[in-house]
Amino acid sequence: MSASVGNFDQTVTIMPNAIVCREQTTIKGDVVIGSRTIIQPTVTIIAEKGPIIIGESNLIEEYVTIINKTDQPMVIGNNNVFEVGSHSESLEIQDNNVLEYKCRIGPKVKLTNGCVIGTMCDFNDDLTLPENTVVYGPDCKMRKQLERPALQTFQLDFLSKIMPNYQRIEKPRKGVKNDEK
Amino acid sequence: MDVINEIFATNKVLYQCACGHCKPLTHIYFCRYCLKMRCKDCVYHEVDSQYCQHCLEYIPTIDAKLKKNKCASCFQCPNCMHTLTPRTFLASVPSETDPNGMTTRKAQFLLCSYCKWSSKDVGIPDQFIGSGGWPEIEAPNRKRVEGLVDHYRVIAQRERMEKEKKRINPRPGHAIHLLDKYGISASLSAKLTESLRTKAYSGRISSNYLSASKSLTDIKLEPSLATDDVEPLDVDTFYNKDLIESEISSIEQRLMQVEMQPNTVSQFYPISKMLYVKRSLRCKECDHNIIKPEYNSSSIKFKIQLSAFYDIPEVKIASTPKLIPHKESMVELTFKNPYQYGMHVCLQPLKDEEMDESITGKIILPKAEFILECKDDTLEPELDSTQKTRYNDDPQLITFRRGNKIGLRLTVIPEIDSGRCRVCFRLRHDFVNSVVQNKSTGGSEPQVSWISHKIYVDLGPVIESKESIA
Repeated sequence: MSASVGNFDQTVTIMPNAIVCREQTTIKGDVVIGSRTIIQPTVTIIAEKGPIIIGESNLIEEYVTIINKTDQPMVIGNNNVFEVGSHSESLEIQDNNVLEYKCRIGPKVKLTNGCVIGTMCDFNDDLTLPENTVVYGPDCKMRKQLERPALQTFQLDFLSKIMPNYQRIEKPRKGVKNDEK
Repeated sequence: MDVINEIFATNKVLYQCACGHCKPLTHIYFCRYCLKMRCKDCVYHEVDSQYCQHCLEYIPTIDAKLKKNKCASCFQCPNCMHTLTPRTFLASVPSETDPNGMTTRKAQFLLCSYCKWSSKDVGIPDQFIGSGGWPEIEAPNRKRVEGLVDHYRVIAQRERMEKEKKRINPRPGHAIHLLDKYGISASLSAKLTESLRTKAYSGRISSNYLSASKSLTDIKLEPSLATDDVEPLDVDTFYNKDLIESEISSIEQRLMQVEMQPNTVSQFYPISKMLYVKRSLRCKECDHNIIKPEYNSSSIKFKIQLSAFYDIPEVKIASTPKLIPHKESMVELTFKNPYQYGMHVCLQPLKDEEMDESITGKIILPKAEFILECKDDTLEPELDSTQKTRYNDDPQLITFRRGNKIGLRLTVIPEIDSGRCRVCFRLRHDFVNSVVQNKSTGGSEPQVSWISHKIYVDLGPVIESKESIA
């Protein structure tokens, strides 16, 4: 049963209404998870030095890895979607962004609003993506989209209803800071 | 993909086709009627049917020509060439019954799931479901091109007519042709048949001429004029304006939309999917079908498939030793029989006149004939212990025998100091023809014939000796 139980540090803060599945989920370091955010099983979120702050109504799917290897805080805004297997080390992700399946973004990239990182894109340029940018294809071509991607409200509502029936959910709690110990 | 190419399209062992081209076995056909190898360069290609690769709809040839070989319902993304998917949503439109009220109706737009390009990006209005297809954009030079095509068609027709007129002996008309066919003309008087002939001929010519001259006057085409006026070059757009990369189309994108060739991204329009064809191949010598696919566009099966892969023994290199120039080395080749009958195989050296420059090594071939067993899917080679004793194999020559596969150890002498060592030999084997029955034996016995193929084997680079480098 040990594998099915989550691996959470005491320093993790989970806001009320957030749904964090325990099964094979690893959340380490100073991490804050905002309300109505859904974290599915097998997700890895590690704050090695600087903290990770995840906003509201984000959807983080299976096998997603979010790592902060720097001293700076990593801030993830609201209504972002991390699809299955995506990997993010970006320090700034604002609102309404989509990271598609198995994409990978490095620490130098910054996302503004409404950006889409395409499937399997490995993107680590030192730049801030302007609003509604789509990165696609093996060469990470870029184009500007007219509209930002649709909100996943329906999916979030559905998951927040269905998840507690089948998954062990970590209860909302206040993280204990390291120096308070 | 590389692994698959290594197995199925390796260029190490090449078979020479009847037309002289060397190709891997997987690219060669074998005509069972002429008993000759054929490749795609020496067969007739015929279009069987046209279909859309995306929706798999079969489209008759006449319709396909009218639709410019494009599918009416499937589109490609003008940005990344991925297939566009229609997205349906509920749009609110003014109600028909109540002038002030609004009602919802199903509408759709096209979206690329890969680069997120959508028909909304360029301002194409959404289509309501049931209102027909997407509007087709008209190419700017369509009228001119069509006019030219019509014009030249008429000219071609007129030239053909003049050529026909010059012929001294008129071709028999259709009526007289029938008379000849059924042998009636012989029973009629010579005078009568002659008058019939002239009547049929003159009638045909005059009617054709009438239509030709008529259509020439119908087409009013302005000839193109060469002018000295050249549009002044707008230097500003090239040098003084900031270039925004994301707004300009790439060369690939422009060439994909060859009628429009948009300069900017905002002029993009969904590209109709081009139709694909199913081809059948026909032997040029005996006119038999070599490849005939099934008619149904969703089927990947064949009605007739005479690929050499099913009939001709497959030669592969099992192991290559270090090839030292002018010294003997042992090479192991495997031979595999894919056919339903056993084969007697023998290897023959080339005649002197057949040698060419590409052969850079000498191969010493065994004189003995050996037997390749037939292909048997149910056989388990490891369990068949009698096989070893059944054939009196020379262990010096034959390294192993497993089912329909055999390994041969051969001696190779590279005749070059550097470069790749290529050897060539003839593979001669008997072929039991299950398709063509032998007529002399009353059609019951299958016909057995001996055929031979020229096979080039590329053994790889030779080891350059240090002395020759120094």
